[in-house]
Amino acid sequence: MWRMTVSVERETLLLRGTLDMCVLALLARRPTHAYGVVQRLQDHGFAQTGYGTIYPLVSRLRRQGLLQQSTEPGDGGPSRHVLALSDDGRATLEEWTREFHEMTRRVTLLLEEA
Amino acid sequence: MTGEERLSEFVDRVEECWVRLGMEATVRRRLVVDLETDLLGAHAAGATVDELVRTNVVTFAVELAEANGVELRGSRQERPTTQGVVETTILGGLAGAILSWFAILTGPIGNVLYDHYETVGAGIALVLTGAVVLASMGAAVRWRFRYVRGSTRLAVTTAALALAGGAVGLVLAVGYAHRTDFSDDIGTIFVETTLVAAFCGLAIVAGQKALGARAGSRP
Repeated sequence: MWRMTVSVERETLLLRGTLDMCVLALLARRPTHAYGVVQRLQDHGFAQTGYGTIYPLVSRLRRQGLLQQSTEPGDGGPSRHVLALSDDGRATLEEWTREFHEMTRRVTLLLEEA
Repeated sequence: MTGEERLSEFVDRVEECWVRLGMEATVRRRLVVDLETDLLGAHAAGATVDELVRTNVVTFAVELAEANGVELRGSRQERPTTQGVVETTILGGLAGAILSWFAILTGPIGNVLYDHYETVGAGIALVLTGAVVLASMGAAVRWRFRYVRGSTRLAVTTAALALAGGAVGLVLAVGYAHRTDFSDDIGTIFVETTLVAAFCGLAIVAGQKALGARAGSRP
């Protein structure tokens, strides 16, 4: 039980630094609404990532100009805010991806040598 | 209550937090409309209400406000340092001890216990006092760090560590009391109380360090 809690905390810590990049990557492939982001993250195995985490995150990315939001009419239901990557978002995603690969390369090297 | 009503209730609770934290009305209305639209849209897209509202409302409200670049009055997004936790625990414990002193040991509860249970009453009173002190410690930590994600777990962990340390301190205090022939001299009582409090503090410091090290969150 204790080990499981620590393991979840560890995963949360690791995810914290990369979640915004993952969200940008998902939205680069296909625009969707905030709940769509949650679903797609869960499809990729990030089961612990809920709406309460993603909603403020996409709001921040939108404010930073990395995401654009448009309103689409719902199919007979309420209208929806659809999120897509802006040009700045695309450039930022490329930069973050490069940095991430460089970081993981260094960490992998360190772990292999240790 | 329908799904829409539950979502609406959630939005109301988030808005209440924003009001309490002094968010400007125009900004608040805009964020409320956005949140309501997004929640209803997500619900229509197949999200269950539980999935959407399963979060700490206060933390969510603060994070969402900050994500939108809104400064909130007094949200105190301070990280819980070991020193901060220990200070808060001591203050919470003191408040609980004073409360217990009046309500349990010297107040009406104490009178009932002593009248009906005689010698066992003293034991019950002490256990009740310990429970109140522990609960006050947890409540103080939970309140001080209420805007930080995981504050409930931090409060429970701190109270559990204090309980463990307090138990060790209590054993030593009883040993000391035995050596002094259970003296009710103020100096002896001070030493016994200090022993229990010191071990509570030590357990919290050691526990926080161990937890921090295990989670890899310390620099």
